[in-house]
Amino acid sequence: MTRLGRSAGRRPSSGFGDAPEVVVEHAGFFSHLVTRSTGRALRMEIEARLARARGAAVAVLDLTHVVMIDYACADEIVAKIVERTGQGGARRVLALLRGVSEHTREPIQRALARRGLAACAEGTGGRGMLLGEIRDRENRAWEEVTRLGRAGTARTTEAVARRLGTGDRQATEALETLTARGLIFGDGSHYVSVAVMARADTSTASADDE
Amino acid sequence: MSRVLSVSPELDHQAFEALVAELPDATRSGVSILFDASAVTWVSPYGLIGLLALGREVEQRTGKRPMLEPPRNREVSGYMERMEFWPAAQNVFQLPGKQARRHGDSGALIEITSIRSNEDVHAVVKKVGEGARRILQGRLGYSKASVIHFSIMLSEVCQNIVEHAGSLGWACAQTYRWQRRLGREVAVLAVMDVGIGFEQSLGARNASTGSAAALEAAVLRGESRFKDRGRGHGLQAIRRQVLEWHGSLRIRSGAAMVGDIAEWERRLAAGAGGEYAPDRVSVKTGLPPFPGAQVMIVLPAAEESITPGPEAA
Repeated sequence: MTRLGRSAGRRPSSGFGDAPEVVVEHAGFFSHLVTRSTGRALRMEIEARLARARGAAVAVLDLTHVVMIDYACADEIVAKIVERTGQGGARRVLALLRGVSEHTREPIQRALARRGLAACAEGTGGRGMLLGEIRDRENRAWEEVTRLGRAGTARTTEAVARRLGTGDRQATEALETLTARGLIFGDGSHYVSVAVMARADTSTASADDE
Repeated sequence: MSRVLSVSPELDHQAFEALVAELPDATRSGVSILFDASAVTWVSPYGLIGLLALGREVEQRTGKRPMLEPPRNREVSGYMERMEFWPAAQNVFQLPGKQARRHGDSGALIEITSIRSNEDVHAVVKKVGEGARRILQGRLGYSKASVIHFSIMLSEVCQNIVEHAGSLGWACAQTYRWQRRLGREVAVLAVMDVGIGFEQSLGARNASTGSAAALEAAVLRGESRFKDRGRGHGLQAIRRQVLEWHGSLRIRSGAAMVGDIAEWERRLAAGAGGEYAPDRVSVKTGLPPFPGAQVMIVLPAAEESITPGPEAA
């Protein structure tokens, strides 16, 4: 029902500020994800692996091969892992839901929204999106960070302000909110999209740095 | 000496209620109970597993397994075989002789399945796949995605048994032509247990205020006995899905029943001499008490002639 792996390995701190390393934990799920106890067992397995990371970690929950997920399982696996994102300072955990299909989207969306959470996701075609409870302004700011991939704080702020049609202060607020919610990574000098963090080779995936 | 409880010729939710009403008196003296189903000529999924729940409750009250006289009607007894009633009944009743086991495909959406653990929930969800496709898409005209939505609904409703009832339960679903009432096919899903029921389950967290209040809290407001705000999704999700399919949901527990009844069914009830209920949601109280929870979901075929009410738009 699940395959766990640290396939992307550890990354050096360069480009990620003070975080000593970023660990990407892949969890691929299969078949029918039903019942709360199943979800709890799978989540605990993933959390145990994430707990070993000394720095930031990205949990990639790959749902590409999942036939269906019920609400209880979506709450246990997805919402509870996402709930812990943004917590823990330099040891924060970020989450990326990969391969979200038409069938799995709704239970996940509702499970997240019920807890007032949002999560970064990719559809089966790889298109990025936010699921859960999210304001339009945050969504647009997130799209801009995703477009940039990885960029310095000043450049990201400027781009987001332009996208939102606001000043730098409001753009900074939006970026801080996204960081606090674990929807982007920010370390004071850079903002990085979760999708970029989750990729093995960041050098080819990120936008021009400052 | 034994006491005979006659099962109505139509073994459905009304026959279940009639038998529940007789239980207190019948079980008071502690004599053996015989459920006489010999005159049964028609059974619904709810009636089938209702009989199992009644049998289990009689054993709880009297300490003796009740007896069951099978239907004489060959069609009905054949149907009960195909629905795998007898394997489940062997754990509930004293049966006269060895009952036949079914052979081949029953054509049912879900044959009677005992639910004791999460593994049983997994099994029933996996098992329903092809049958659900054939029936929901092929016969009821639902979308391709309906198979997944039905499976999620089934999983959630069966999980309630494992998570909250603390007891054995059963699930069963079948389609039939509801000619007399609706003039088209319906799928009926019945899930029930004889566990602690909603009042006691919610009472673990809230001040208990009776089975109706507990049902309303859980079914209508999504409250759970757990403080965790991620809990309580399941019944809400079921309600939404049933509404989307213009179906009806009834959940009975203790001495109450909460219903979320489709417009077409309320109109039919009014046409049959009842009073038209303007609200989808109904709460019945003062029913004869029965343990656990009994769920019935009726899903009509998707036909244009079903005129959805404004709330189902």
